[in-house]
Amino acid sequence: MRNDVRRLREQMKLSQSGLGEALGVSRQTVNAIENCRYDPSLPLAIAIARQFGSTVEEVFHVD
Amino acid sequence: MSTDHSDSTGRQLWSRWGNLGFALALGVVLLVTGLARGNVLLGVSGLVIMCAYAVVLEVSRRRSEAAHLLSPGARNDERQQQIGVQALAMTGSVLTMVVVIGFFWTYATDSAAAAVFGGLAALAGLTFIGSTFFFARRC
Repeated sequence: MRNDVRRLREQMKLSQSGLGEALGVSRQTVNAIENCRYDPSLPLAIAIARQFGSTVEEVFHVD
Repeated sequence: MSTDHSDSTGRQLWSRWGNLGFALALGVVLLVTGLARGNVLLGVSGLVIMCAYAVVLEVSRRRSEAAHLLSPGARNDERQQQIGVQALAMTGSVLTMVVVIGFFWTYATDSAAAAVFGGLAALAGLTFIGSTFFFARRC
């Protein structure tokens, strides 16, 4: 599943650690999501979308 | 507030010293067992190996996520918990395979260990069936 987490995070000038801290996950997990190595659970996907003021569909794209 | 702080401190302490404590305790058990069997070399090597494992884990904990995940009391998110479950599943699969192959091998060679391997294989099978029913109802 593709996503725009990296682009949105960089737009907000957030580091991976900073985003991870805001979401309650590790920096490595943010990195894994950005590189499409890990698909987050629905609650985490919603939390990520809310963090960027977007919807899940706007952040995550099913191929 | 103070409870949260003490919880956090306790977790940090457990995370920091848990590895060393666990490895040392297991090493001492191996040492005592080795001494009881009259095999000093086996006992001492067990203690040394366990201590070395704990030291390597402690040194690399900050740099390696895997080493961090192997530390007790590590605060894990959903991905890290999934890694733990996958690692546990792989461990179980490998152990089951070894036990089943061991059973057939010992059974074919008419070894007395066939009963032990057979019991372990039966336990693994029953646990798998039982846990499948349990999680199918729970999830």
